[in-house]
Amino acid sequence: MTLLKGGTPIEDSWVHLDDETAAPAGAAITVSFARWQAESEALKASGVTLGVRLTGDDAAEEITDDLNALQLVVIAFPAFTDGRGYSIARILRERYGYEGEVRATGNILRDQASLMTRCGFDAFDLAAHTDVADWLEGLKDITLEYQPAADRRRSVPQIRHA
Amino acid sequence: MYSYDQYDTQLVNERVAQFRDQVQRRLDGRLSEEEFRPLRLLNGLYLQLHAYMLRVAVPYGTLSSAQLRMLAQIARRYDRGYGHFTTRQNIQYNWTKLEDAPDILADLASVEMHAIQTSGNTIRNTTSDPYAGVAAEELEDPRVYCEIIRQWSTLHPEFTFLPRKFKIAVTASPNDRAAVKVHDIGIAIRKNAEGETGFEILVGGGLGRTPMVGKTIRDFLPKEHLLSYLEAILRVYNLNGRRDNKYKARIKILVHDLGTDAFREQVDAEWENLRGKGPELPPAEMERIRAFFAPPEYEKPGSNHQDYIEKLRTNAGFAEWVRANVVEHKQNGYAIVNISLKPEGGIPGDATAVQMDSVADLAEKYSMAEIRVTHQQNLVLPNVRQADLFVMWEELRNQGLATNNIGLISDIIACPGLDYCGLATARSIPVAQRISTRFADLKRQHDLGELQLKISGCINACGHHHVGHIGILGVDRNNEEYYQITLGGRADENAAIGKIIGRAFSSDDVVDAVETVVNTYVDQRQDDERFIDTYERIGPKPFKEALYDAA
Amino acid sequence: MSHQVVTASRLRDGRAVYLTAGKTWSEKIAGSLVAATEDDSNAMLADAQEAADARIVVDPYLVDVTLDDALPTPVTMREKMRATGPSVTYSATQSEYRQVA
Repeated sequence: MTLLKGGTPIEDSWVHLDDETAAPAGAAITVSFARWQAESEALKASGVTLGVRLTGDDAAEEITDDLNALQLVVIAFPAFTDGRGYSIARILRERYGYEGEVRATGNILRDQASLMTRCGFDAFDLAAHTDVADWLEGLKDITLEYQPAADRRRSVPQIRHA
Repeated sequence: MYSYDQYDTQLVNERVAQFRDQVQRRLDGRLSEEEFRPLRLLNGLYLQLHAYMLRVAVPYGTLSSAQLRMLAQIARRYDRGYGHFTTRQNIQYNWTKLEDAPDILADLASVEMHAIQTSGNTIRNTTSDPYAGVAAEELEDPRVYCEIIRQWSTLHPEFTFLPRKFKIAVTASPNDRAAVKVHDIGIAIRKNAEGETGFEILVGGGLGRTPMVGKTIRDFLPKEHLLSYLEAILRVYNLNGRRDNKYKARIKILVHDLGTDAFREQVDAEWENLRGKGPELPPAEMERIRAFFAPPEYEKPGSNHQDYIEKLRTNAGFAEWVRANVVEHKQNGYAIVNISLKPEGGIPGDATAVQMDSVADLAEKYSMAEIRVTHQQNLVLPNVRQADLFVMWEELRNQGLATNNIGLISDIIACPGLDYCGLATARSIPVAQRISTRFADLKRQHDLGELQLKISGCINACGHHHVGHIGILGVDRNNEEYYQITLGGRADENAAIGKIIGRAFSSDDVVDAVETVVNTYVDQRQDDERFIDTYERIGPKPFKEALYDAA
Repeated sequence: MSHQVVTASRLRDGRAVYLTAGKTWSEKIAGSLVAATEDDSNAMLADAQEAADARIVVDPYLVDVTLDDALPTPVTMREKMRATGPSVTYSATQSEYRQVA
């Protein structure tokens, strides 16, 4: 796996816990949505750096009260054709003003990089065989957009009437 | 009509370059077919039975002469000299090559056209009334909003991987010619009590294996909120539409399962967060787009208008063509002219490059260089002076384009069927051809009056059989083609889903069965009743008896 | 088992093609390699898969055929249509259909 953040490959410093393992002291951990629902109060009190992992099936709005306590939201794409994560990311960014990391993981393609960035993803868990330089090229394909979105770039209607 | 500015041009050019790169990566192995398939579909490129099929968008059915000439040139240069106009106002080329596709798209971009989102699980070409802007009874030109939706939906970052395809249609006329009730979202421009125009919003209509008529979820949406409201609907669908079963993934199933009221509540809750924000256009942008659709300068009827009246009186063939194919224009002295792509025994919706060039020339000469594509798979010249009708009719006759059967039984909608389509279970085109030939007598057709016959080659219903007055669905039974007949469907403002009349007919028997249905109507009709009126009055029983009891 | 041939779409132009002896592909079903046993079918499909991996064809699969004087004819409607091409000919210009007006 290659973790790409802000256009640069970095080490993943997070420990992604299953639903049974106790949080190691001092670590930055992510837990599943189910575990978050069960243990959020205890986790917040434990003082570790926290993140949560969502899938499209999870009721994402239930974490929105806790966004201040979360440094990372990981959104899983079980298939690259499953577009729910795009809406979840926009809601977190645009409605709730979430400024922590929003990471895409799972089955994600180079040709989706630009769409995902526009929806507010700023980190990507790339499959091991991914050509990082090629992935970054994908971000440059389309330089204009008709719709305002989470990336806060000016849309074409805004440019037209600036 | 709308004309691109530098931003529209740049965006479409960038999309062409992006697709060229995607094709190259497929050819050199960096993309697998599984990865490439959704990417090519997002640009309308299908792998069909015999070759790649490219579907090109004709946004809301409006074309310039220059654009139609380019469509002709593409047919000649990259295909076999013809194209097929579809029920969603697009054109399809049946014999394209993958390696040519980027060049075709570049040619299209040079005349402000594209194939963006003509397939894939995303927002498709927004369709509209083919008489938009010229219909006598419309409230305003719906294409202003179609263009607004076109731009908003183009490469939308959030809605490119929806549960399933998504189709929007807009009408501004009480006579719905855009089939808005059988679209995922139907938009009908309405006037409220204060005399302001706004939108009635319908959702959850559609055909396919579970046909449904759309439900109104908002009676009157103020215009400025169009895009925020659409974004709210799409978001509710994207998050909650079923992804476990592609046959239950359309928005109609979500609306049906939740119930209209619960669906509306979810949309309204989402809309609260979007209303007055991001996606909504600044008034100046709405005005900029509206200006492109301002009515042209019409001439006052001249002295030669009298010649037209005279020709109508003295030339029976011309008068019949006018009666069937020419429609009242909002401007005195002008006419809307339908060009039938349904000659006797022909392939519904097909046009040759030669014919496309001819229509482009005629439009330039007589219709302010503008052409429309209809969801009935015909063409329209929207702005013809009545005084020019006679000479134009003569020119149309020379090109085999003067068939005067608009709205009649041989004006058949048919999908490509098993002759071309990888999904089909039976052929559609040969059945359409045989019916067209059986009813070749135009006098008989005119006597039968308005009769919409629609043929699909499989349950996906691209031929709209569910909403045909007479619908025909081709099925495969032990490797033989059978055809099921439905009656009583309609796609207009009183949209209804047709009912299956009984067991299916063999390919040999289906044309006789259609004739039996038609004869039953003739026996039973009262006064000037249309087929659909008679059917709605007497119900299926007499038709059923005529079809099955004699045997 | 019934006889089988392997078909696929050619990547570059999408044409329906059939696997022939010598691991080449033909647009004509007449020259295709016919499997009479399951082992033959599996071996042919493996060869076809290699061609798919080499980006010559897309999505190869087996088609049941009957043999008529050694000429393979597909059993299903769909495969018959793929093998013979559309049953309707577009006769260069549709105006050749009888003009009715």
